[in-house]
Amino acid sequence: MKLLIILASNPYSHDFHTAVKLAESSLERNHQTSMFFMGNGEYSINRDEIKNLVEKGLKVFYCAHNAEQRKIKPESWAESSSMYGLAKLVTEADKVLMLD
Amino acid sequence: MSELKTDRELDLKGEVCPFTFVKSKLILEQMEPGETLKVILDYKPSVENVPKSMREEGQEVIEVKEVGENLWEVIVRKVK
Repeated sequence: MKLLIILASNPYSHDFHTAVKLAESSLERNHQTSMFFMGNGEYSINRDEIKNLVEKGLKVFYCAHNAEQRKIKPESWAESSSMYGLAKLVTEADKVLMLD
Repeated sequence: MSELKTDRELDLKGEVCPFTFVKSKLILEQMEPGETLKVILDYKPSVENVPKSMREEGQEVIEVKEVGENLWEVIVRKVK
């Protein structure tokens, strides 16, 4: 299964914890798991929890415009994307979870 | 190197995502396959993502060039 988690919540919210736990469980079940960071969710992109999930196979994308607005420089393992990119990811995923 | 002559030009200075891609796509829809479009951008995230989205749409990105301070040109050939 292809799971896409979209995170737009403020940093240090419950949603971040939920997203991390869901992604962890999904990866343990060998599902193809991606996370898309947008809006204030971008503040969480460089956290260690995400980096650890990347090492377990999580694919990370972010809205380049939202990152630029917030002066956030994501790590190299995160792929620069856009609303067009997000639309493509949504159509390719089997399940999409939006945490906002 | 001589400058590439293009069939159409789209000045997107001052525009940000997603309008940079949307407006580029709309003008390409008015063009014929084989014709070329020059898109002028002054927003760095769009310089990465407009060419990427164009390629994913099946168009050919001929060149991405920095032409000034915070100013770029993206040349696209319409394939389909």
